[in-house]
Amino acid sequence: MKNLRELWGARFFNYMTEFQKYMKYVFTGHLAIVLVFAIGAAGYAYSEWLKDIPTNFPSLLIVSVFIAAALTYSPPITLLKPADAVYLLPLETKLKGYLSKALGWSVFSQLPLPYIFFIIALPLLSATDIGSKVAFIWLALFIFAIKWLYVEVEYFVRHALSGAHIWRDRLFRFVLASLFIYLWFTAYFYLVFGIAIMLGIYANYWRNAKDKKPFPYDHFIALEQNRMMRFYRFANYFTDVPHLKGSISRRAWLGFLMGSPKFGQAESQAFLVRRTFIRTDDIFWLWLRLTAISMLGALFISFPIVVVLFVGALTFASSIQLVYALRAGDEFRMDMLFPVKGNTRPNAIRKTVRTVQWIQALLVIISAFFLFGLSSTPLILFFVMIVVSELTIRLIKENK
Amino acid sequence: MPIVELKEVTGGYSRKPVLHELSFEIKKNELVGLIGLNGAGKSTTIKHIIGLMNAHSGEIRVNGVTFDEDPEKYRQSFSYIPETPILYEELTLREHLELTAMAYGLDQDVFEARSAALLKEFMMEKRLRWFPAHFSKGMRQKVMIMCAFLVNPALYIIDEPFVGLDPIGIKSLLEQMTERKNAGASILMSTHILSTAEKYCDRIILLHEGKLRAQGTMDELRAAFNRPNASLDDLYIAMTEDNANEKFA
Repeated sequence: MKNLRELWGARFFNYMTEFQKYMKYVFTGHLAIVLVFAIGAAGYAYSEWLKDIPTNFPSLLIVSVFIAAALTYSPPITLLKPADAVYLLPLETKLKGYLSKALGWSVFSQLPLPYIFFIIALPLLSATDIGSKVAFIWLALFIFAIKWLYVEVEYFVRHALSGAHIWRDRLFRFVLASLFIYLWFTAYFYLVFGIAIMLGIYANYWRNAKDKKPFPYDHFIALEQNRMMRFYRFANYFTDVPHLKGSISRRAWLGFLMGSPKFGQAESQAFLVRRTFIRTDDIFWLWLRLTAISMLGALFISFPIVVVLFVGALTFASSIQLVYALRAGDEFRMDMLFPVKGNTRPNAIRKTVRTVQWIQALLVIISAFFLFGLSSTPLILFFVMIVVSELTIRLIKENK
Repeated sequence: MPIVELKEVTGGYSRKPVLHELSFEIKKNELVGLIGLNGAGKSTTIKHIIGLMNAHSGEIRVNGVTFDEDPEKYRQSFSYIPETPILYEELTLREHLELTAMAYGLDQDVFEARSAALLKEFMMEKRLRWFPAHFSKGMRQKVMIMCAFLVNPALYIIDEPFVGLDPIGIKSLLEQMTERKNAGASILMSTHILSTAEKYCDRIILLHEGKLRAQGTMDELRAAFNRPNASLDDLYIAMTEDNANEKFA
């Protein structure tokens, strides 16, 4: 490695390889087909809705807020690693070239989101008679410029304050960006130049503040690790990601579900697995999310067959993912040495998943009663959910 | 009957063996030190004994049975303290102790009495509701130690126990080990702290490049290396030098 620019090149290559490795699993055939249909259906519904949109619909406000939010969220992607706090420490003065490449990539990789919002916004703005072709082209250029500036500013602020008070900075930038976009389509469009000047002064202030502070390696490394962890957690829904460390919450309010220890060997794994389910954020939120979506489906989908298919598919997803998530773990856990029968852990996992799937089914049947009343549909729904869960739990192959 | 018995064990991670025809015994009521350079095969030996790795050939008996004969009895006979503390991030300190008590079939009364004494000894009473994320390296190690001693098994297998512990923690651990040994338990301990090993171990097993280089009491080792009055440090260095000379001879 001759210099830090080359280091960026090597890091970037490894990062893209890792990224593609997991994206391959994420966009397998099924998901791609679902996405195509979902986007198509959403696009159709959107265009139908635009046909008879009320003239007083606050489209400009909504568009400004959404694009501004996408512009404001601009964390720098540095690809720094924990060991850099040691090895790059003496090279702090030479980091500039590395960071300019990193910020360039941050801008480039974060541009799609505001532009997607922009493209979705175009027909909405036209339908409510806002803006002209020229104004839209200028907005596209502004989005690029503001994103560029915001990535730099967010980096300056994080550098100067070691990551503290970043939400204060973001709130300020969000308000300015919203105002900028909003005013651009009003009669007061010339005020955007005032906002641009304010942004320039703000950026310059933080650039100077940054120059007075040493590079906060720890903050940027933690930021980078959290970002990669989010990606791994996402990829983990589709494939097994090794060494994934989930965050933990006590969730004392669910203490009654965890039960007190029963001093018997057979209970040891149940004791452990219940706590793993309730306290591991990924696993718990996965279940809660799928339960909430199923409940919404039962509340709002009025075609019995559609709701049964919808909820049945989610039940399958919920039970299969829970079993895999609870099975996953480190290469070595102390319970591997416990003097208990070999099937104790698989049985405990099955029992726990069965219990939470029953709870899910009960919550969904209650929601379904609201929509369908005391009829056979909620009962069929409940029956389907229990059967799907039970079959999934029983038919998943054991790990060897 | 020895509590641990290795007969010509050859084994390792891949097909290329790390351990070569290793044979030794640990008797009841014995504290045995497993000594060797980094990469000598100490941790691999321990992993074979606790049943995490399978030997390519040879036989390992703990409390008279092999793992295949009776896995539950085999595992019930020992508790293990790994080199790096391995905790459940989702369990509090108290729950770690409860889980261990449940898994090893302790009654509630026994659990309460033993855990109270251990928590006091290792000064962890005030951290019962804490999660491992908030523990220092030394505290994590203390959780592992308390779980192992809670079980009160016939055999303790302890890998590098002193790393990360504060001086009071080391003292408590050594006291506990001596106490358990006097009560009839056996201990296999791997360590690089040779002065401690020399002072506390009844016997020493010297491993070098996956082979048993020498074993015995300090006096037996001194006789074997023909160095009267030598400390374990001296013998250890002599062993590695001898070996280097043999290579170049």
